[in-house]
Amino acid sequence: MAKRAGAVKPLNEPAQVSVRTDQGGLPVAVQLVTVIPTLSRRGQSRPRGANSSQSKWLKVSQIEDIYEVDELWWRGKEQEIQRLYFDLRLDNSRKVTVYRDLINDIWFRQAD
Amino acid sequence: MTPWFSAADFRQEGSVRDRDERQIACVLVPNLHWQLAVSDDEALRDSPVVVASGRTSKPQRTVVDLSPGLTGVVAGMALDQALSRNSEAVLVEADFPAAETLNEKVLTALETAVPDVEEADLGIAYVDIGGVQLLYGDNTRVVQAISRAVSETFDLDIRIGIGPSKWLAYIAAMRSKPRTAYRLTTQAERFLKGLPVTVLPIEPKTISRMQEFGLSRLGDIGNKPRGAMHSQFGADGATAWDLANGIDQSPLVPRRTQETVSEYLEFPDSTVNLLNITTGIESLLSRAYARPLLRNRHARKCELQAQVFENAPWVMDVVFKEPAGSKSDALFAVKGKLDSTTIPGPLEDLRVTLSGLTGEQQRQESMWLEIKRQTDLSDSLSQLEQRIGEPPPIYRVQTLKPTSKVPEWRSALVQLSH
Repeated sequence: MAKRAGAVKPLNEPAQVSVRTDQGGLPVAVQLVTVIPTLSRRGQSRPRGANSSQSKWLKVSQIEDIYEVDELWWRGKEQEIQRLYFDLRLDNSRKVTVYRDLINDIWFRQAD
Repeated sequence: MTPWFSAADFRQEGSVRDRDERQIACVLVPNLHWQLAVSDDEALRDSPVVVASGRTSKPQRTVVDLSPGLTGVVAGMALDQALSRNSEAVLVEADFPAAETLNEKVLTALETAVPDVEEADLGIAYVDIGGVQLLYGDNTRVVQAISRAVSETFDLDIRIGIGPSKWLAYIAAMRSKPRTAYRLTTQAERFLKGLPVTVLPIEPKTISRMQEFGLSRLGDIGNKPRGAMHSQFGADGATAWDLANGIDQSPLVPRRTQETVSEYLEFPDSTVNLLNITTGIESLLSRAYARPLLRNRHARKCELQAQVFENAPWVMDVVFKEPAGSKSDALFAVKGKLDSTTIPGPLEDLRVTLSGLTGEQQRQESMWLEIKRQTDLSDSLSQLEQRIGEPPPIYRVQTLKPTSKVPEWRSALVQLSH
């Protein structure tokens, strides 16, 4: 059975991320992946796929907002969405939004 | 002529719940490249065979197909790895043009028996037999008609499966044996449970990850919550869960028959001389444009195919910026691309196929800038589709639910079409 090119694709899909929390469950650090372009000796970019990635733990300097989203609860546990969102300011001044999937207990980063 | 399929060869799994449920047949030509190789050289039938992609600019050759029953090798695997596991396997170059030509002939033969045929992949086609049952009488007669249409033209191992969805029809076809058909109904969950995850039509790396998690059977996946599968494996995980539970709502999309004009010649001697090759192309284009089908019409694409002496077949596609309505227009574009192409070896023959036939003779430009931009975009998409053979993966952002609490529901990517 072959895959067919889809006509509609999701946008800004969340990606799983590693988060360290304190005893209260609040995030204190987030691991982000940075793509580093690999340059040749002459300073020209190499073809796609030659880049390397680096994951780095960044401390949370401030939790700017916390809110919960509870959707599709009427469709049962299989389809229910229950998330606890955190708008974070990291110590490099970068802003990220992460959430904890309360049903599966997995952390995700919400795309911007 | 006795049909190779009879009512006694019809196997069924599960029970029929509703006579009106959707009925789809999957026509499967298993190991198509291997079957092609065996038809050229019967001695290969009893040998372990690995069919590999030809020598290209890519650094690694991969396995395209293999002989039935060969273990330790799967399609898509690196050739080096496959041969290290089967040192006695015979290596055969994949003949993609011949495989595509054979596939096209099978699809055309199917369309003589049933109207709606979907070309899913090389060697896999889906047929909507729901309405056709009224024409032929019952499922058995429909399958007989399909098998007759194909078997009268080709001496191939063809399997037929029937189910209420494309997925179940495909699984049924995989289970069927030569000259039998198999039918799965909506109550076939028990049957699906024992199948390996390698049958799923998802990324191979996702399948490897699932196996690392201990999910080796569809039953292992079906027992997990759908949300957990989606969280861990993304969209592939959700798809796997649906299919493991026999859920497939994808519609059957009948293919659009494309008109083509094809001309062929054989060189007296194999040649790499560009002048000889260009002369051959010019001759073939002259013949093609003299055909009644191309009278007052234009072509958007030209495909060149040739058998290369002691090498894999050579294929070159030329998509015209403007539809070509004459030999000279087409030849100009082909020569331009040929100048920057390396012929891989002496050509033994040459085939020119013109497709994307259109009746356009003149263009009327719009004076409104926005409409002109949309027209230009539509033309570009059409040409790109001709070049790559499927709708181009170009999307625009479409706002769906701007006030949704779930951020990824607010917008989506919608594929552009011409």
